[in-house]
Amino acid sequence: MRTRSVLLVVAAFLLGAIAAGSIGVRVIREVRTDEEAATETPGSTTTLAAGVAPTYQVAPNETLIGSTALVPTGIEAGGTDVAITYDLVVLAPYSGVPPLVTFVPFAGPSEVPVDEINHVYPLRWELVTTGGTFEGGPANPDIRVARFDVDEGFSPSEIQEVVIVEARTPYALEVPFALSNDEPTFEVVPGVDISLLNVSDQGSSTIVQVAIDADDPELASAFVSGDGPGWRSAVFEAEGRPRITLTYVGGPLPDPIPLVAAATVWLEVPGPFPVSIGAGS
Amino acid sequence: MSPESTPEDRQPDYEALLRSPYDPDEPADRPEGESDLPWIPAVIAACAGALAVGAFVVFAVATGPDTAEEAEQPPASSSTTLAAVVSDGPPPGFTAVTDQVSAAPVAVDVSASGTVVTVATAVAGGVDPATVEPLDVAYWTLTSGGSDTTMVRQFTEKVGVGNTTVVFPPVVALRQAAVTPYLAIGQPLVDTTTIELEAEYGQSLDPFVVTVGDVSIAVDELSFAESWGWISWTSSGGVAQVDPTITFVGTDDPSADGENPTLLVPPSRRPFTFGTPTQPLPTPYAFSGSEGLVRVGEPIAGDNQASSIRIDLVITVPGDVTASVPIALPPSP
Repeated sequence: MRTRSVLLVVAAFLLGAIAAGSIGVRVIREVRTDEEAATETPGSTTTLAAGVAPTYQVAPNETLIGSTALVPTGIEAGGTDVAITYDLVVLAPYSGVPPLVTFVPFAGPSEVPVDEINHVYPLRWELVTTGGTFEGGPANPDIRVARFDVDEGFSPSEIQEVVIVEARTPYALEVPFALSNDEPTFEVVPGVDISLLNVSDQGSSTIVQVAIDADDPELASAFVSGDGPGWRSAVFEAEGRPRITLTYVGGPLPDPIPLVAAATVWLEVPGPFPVSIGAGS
Repeated sequence: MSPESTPEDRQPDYEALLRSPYDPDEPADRPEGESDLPWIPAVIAACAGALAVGAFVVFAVATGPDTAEEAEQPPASSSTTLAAVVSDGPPPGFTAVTDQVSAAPVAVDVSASGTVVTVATAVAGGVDPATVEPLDVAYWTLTSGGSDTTMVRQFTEKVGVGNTTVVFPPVVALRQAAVTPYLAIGQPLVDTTTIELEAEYGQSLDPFVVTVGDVSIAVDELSFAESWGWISWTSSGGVAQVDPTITFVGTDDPSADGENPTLLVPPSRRPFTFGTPTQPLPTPYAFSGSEGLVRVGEPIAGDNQASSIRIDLVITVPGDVTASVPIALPPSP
């Protein structure tokens, strides 16, 4: 009888221990998983073969697009707005290249150093989070902030991945073309049409007005000059208006009117481009 | 006792005889229906076992490895993650063209009117781009399907550096294609041809040829008036840069210090004025060219008249040209 009692007590102890142990193992696993998820940083780890260190051109958290390094500098979240700030660092050699002269309204000519000129436009971004994917980006090529509209109560800890899905780089091109009353419009580059607005005979000269119609002026622009002898320098009609006035003084105006467009087009650079917004190395 | 009983059967029940009425656990002492097993101790034992293991679980969770330290440790795999270091070479995807500059195609457009390749350049990691001059490319060739073709023209980005656009004759499709920059090296050869003319506005010169080194530049058309100019040329034996200046000798801008005669120059050398874009970069090397010349300085009118006209034609050709490495292009989509 006593033997049975002892055996019963021992068995009960073991059953209790086994039951508690099975529950305890699950608890330990779940705790470890939560801790690992809390310490993960999106897109910041590269694992290479043993002994090979990853390299960078400008900063460990850079994203290379063409000859420009995009380096995130910070992230801010408030309400339904997320803003990722970044620098664009030129990698192209530019010793001896003069600055760009541009016109600032109410201020006059202004010089822009070469390393501050835009060579890349990270147009469209995706913010991948635990609550969904949000699209955003900078408002124009001069802005160094990518903005996203997110849900109320958003926290940066929800970010899983940041990716630039569309980036563009400028290239220059000269395109000769001609306009006439029969063919008053010509597409000089995709997304940019030049249209003949008016031809005015001034006696010893002829004034030709053309309009530049760009689907997206941020992505393509052009300037038009006369092509051939007899043309004075062309000028924009007024600041901000995409109209150009050309003056022909070489006698009777040729028909069709020979012109040449100097275009700048923002070409898409094949991506996508992951962005690291975690801490640097 | 029956005759069949065994000797053991005939033994007296000593246990019963020695049993005391005070001995416990006598079946006869329990109420009917009650178990004889010690359940209460068993329950206590089960709880004790559970408590013992539970204490161990709490201890294991509380005293596990620090999670912050764990995040910095290499992942449990066969490879090792090392801290990133500054590259001493070209960026990924770029091909070293010189010991300081590398290049890569960023866009390719194949159409019936031509094949346009945009090439970006970059310095090696850790190098200041402000200390390195841009590539000086005499011309480019396109290799596709085993055939070579030479560029039609090249354009540098008008608002800075970085991208060069090269236009080639049209190709059907790119197959194992690559572009090769032929670099201008050594000291370039520069020749200035000066032509003196009578002070007559509205002139058109007869075509003429200027030879610089091994390159012959045929000026097909050079015409001008008091407010405009035009030049077109072609070269043979190599590429050239042609930079004309037409000076109306004897003219001046009285509002400016020093001598400021009225000139006709390429747009790239025109000072910034409102309403006109700036083109700070000179025209790159080419096999041909044409451009209008714009007036700089006071208009020719009233007292501001030329006593003579001088044309200075500065022609630059590469001192030497060497082929660099081919830069592979992505296949046509």
